[in-house]
Amino acid sequence: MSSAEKDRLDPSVVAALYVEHGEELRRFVLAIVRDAQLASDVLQATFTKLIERGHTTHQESRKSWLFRVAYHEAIAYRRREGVGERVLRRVAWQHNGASGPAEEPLLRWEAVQSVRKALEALPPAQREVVRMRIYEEKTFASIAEELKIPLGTALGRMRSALEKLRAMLRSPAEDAENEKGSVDDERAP
Amino acid sequence: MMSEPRDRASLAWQAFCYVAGELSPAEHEAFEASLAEDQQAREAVAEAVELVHVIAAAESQLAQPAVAAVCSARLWRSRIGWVLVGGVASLLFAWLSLGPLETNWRGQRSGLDRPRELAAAWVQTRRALATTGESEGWLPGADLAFDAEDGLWLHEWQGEELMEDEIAETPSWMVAAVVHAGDLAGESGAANPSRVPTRAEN
Repeated sequence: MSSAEKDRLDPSVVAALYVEHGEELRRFVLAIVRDAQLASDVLQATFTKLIERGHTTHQESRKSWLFRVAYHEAIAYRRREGVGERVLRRVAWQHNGASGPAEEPLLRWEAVQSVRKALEALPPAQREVVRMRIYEEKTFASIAEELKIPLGTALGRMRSALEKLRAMLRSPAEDAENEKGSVDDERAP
Repeated sequence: MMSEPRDRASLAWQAFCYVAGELSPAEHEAFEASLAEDQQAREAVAEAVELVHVIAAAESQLAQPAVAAVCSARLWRSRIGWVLVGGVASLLFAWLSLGPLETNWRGQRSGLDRPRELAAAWVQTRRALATTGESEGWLPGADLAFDAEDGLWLHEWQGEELMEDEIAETPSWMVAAVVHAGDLAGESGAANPSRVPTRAEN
């Protein structure tokens, strides 16, 4: 057994961490990747890293470490899936000029359509910042420089735009739940 | 900072900045630490990830018609370019077929003049193609660019800039064909000025 293997966390510690935080982590990852199988893969990868590197973390910060690793693993999985999606989308578009729900397994098709309409309805200045930040993946600093506007203005435009777009992302069920919650809040003494 | 009460909008903004990698290192660390304890922060992160991906997909859809329009414009430019090539080729063919006869009948032009005229037509065609951006398809790997200072067409080839007269030479096979056609027409014209050479003779 190598020294690295000897230093590893005791399996009982890993198991205890899984029992304690596994479900919470799974829900968090599932909300990011929106696919149960993928969420299980991410969770497995997270705990594999815990076994390999957990001994380098402090006991009191292990939960935080797990969430951090789970987030990064989820983003990495999602990005890999996204590459596949883009290739499929491009091929489908080249063949029949169409794209549909089957090509975007991790995205809600209706949400994309709603956000697309909302994007078109945004003021041009906000739309430009959104496109440059998210589609062209430019930083706010470079966007501000390119558009010759203060950084705060670029951030303000993005924030305003996101608030409008976020409203489009919420499903009708979520909206109904939120409305019910706000009514309950009003009724509460 | 994380312990302060946050409204939903500011938490969503902070989560977006976290996902986008726009938080300062200290803010990033603090927000990441909050994920372990703060369910709202986790939900905000998940929502921010989803929002970014949905916006990217929507932007991608909005960009596709623009790409299609550019592709369509390129296609049409390509078609126009090739029609132009066809037209010029037809003119050259007609000139090669009829020019030698006409000049020999009138006795005003010699066979030696024709390569120069042909070269001029060749250069003119290249310029016309360059303005439609079709020089690439016509001459693979080549780009013509206009040098406004010198008023000359430059040719960028494998990193070198060459002057027009260095590269715009008429193909030797075409010059040879013209001279040969002229010689044949001259011979037949000398023997019988009114005789039209047959295709087989050319």
